[in-house]
Amino acid sequence: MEEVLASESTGRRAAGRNGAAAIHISGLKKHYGAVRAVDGIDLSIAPGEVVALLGPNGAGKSTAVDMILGLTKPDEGEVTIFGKAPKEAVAHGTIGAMLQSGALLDDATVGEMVGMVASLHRKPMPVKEALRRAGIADLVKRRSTRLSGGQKQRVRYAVALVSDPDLLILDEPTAAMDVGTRREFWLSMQEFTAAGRTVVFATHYLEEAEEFADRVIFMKSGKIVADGSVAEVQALAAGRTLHAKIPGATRSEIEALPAVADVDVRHDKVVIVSSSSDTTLRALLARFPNARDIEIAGVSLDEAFITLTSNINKS
Amino acid sequence: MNLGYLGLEIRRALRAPGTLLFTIGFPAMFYLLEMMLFKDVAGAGAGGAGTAAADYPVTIMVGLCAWGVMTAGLLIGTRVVHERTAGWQRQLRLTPLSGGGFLIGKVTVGMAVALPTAIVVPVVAVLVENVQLTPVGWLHATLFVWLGSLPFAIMGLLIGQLSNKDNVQNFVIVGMLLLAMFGGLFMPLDMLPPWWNDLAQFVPSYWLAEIGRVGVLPNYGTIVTPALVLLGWSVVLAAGVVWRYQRDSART
Repeated sequence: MEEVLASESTGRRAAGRNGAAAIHISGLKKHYGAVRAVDGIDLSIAPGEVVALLGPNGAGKSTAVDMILGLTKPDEGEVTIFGKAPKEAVAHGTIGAMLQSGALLDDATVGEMVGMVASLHRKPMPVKEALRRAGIADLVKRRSTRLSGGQKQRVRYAVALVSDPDLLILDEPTAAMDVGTRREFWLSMQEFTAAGRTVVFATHYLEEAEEFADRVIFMKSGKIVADGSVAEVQALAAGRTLHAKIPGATRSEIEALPAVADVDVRHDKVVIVSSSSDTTLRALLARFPNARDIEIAGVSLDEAFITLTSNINKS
Repeated sequence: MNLGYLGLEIRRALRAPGTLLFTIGFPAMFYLLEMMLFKDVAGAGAGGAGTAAADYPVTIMVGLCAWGVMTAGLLIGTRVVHERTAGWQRQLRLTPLSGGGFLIGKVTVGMAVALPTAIVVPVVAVLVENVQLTPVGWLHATLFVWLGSLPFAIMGLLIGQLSNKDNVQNFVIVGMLLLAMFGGLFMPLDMLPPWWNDLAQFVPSYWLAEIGRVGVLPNYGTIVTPALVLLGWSVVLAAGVVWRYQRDSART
């Protein structure tokens, strides 16, 4: 972990060519009919940063990623990649992207697919090298229909890697991987980031963001609602949800308890999201001795999301 | 783009089970079948050399050659739909491959797959019906007809970009049959009513067969008109393909 952070900061010091941000986004908007998929985003990601993009489904992550890649035209605003338009960056092989699900051909082998993409780029890395880095050197001749979910993900990773890009965009890279494969995947990612390259990944796994990103961006309803460091995420991972039955408690009374991030009161049922459940529980029992059926559980991503948002709003 | 990319695309096209059946199997089989049907007409020949009936072994060969190369082009549609559904086209758009490069690549592959038709059907015609032509005649009936498949390869590509997994087969098969029937590829045109011949002028496949006919029939006109008509179709359809590629980011 420390090693990752160290290499990332070295990368950041190495900084970008011509001093431009790896990704610079200003006033970005995109709507589909009445739905505002992306509703005004401003963001700058420095070269060498490893950024996790979190948010519930429908938060606008994929639309934002599409605009960063130049696959979708923004309604308003601008995206630049190392100072260039996304399409230009793509043409130069500056961006590699690992798309969500699909993106593999049923009638081709692993080696053929990676080879095809390599042959389209101007300065690709050798196909063997890309396969080795993705940990699938032994699958060159395998048809994609005969790959496991985790293996497919690694083929997508090899496809993204083969142009030898400076910026890598990963849309839920470890979905369908088991714990061991996920570990290996991130180890190979460290090889990539150690050279000072930039990575942006969308994920549902909070612990991945915690462990591998040095910056975390939360999106909700097309907006960035939180943009914080790993330290803030780690604080949030300590958060817990506290369920209890407290007859007669009011919302404002509960909110006044220490370390409370969010409260939901229905009749006598109270749900509290707390950044320090011990502190909250002690205060709660002192204030409401009649509280019963108390349960404490780890936070889900959605609840964590709320905790982080409210923490940042308060600070 | 380079040869490695094209080679791989051609390998994939040949792997698809329908490809060889439609481009080689059916045209050759239909030729044998039609010769059995029209043999008597040709033989009893409302009279020997110089009549349309006497030319059936040649004109039907040209028609079925045209049908095969056209079908090879239209079949691109099915493959493109699969690539789009799989999200592969999104992946390709993240490479330096431009809309024009994409078009050229797909069309080259479609035409490469069509090449065997333009060889196999004439070979069958020579072996079975002892068809004899001048070198110029053979050039028209094989190479030029094959080159004439260009607009159909582009049409196949456009079908692939505009249809989806559920309806692409219908578009390809129905399109192929309509073009074959109204272009007069299956039946000798002189067996069909005059209005059919008039209508055929508006169908690009008619002009594809014309490319062959101008080479194999005496005093039949020049290659200029059919070539220009097919080129015109190619330009319009190609513009549609490039336009569509640039806008198509659909996640399916």
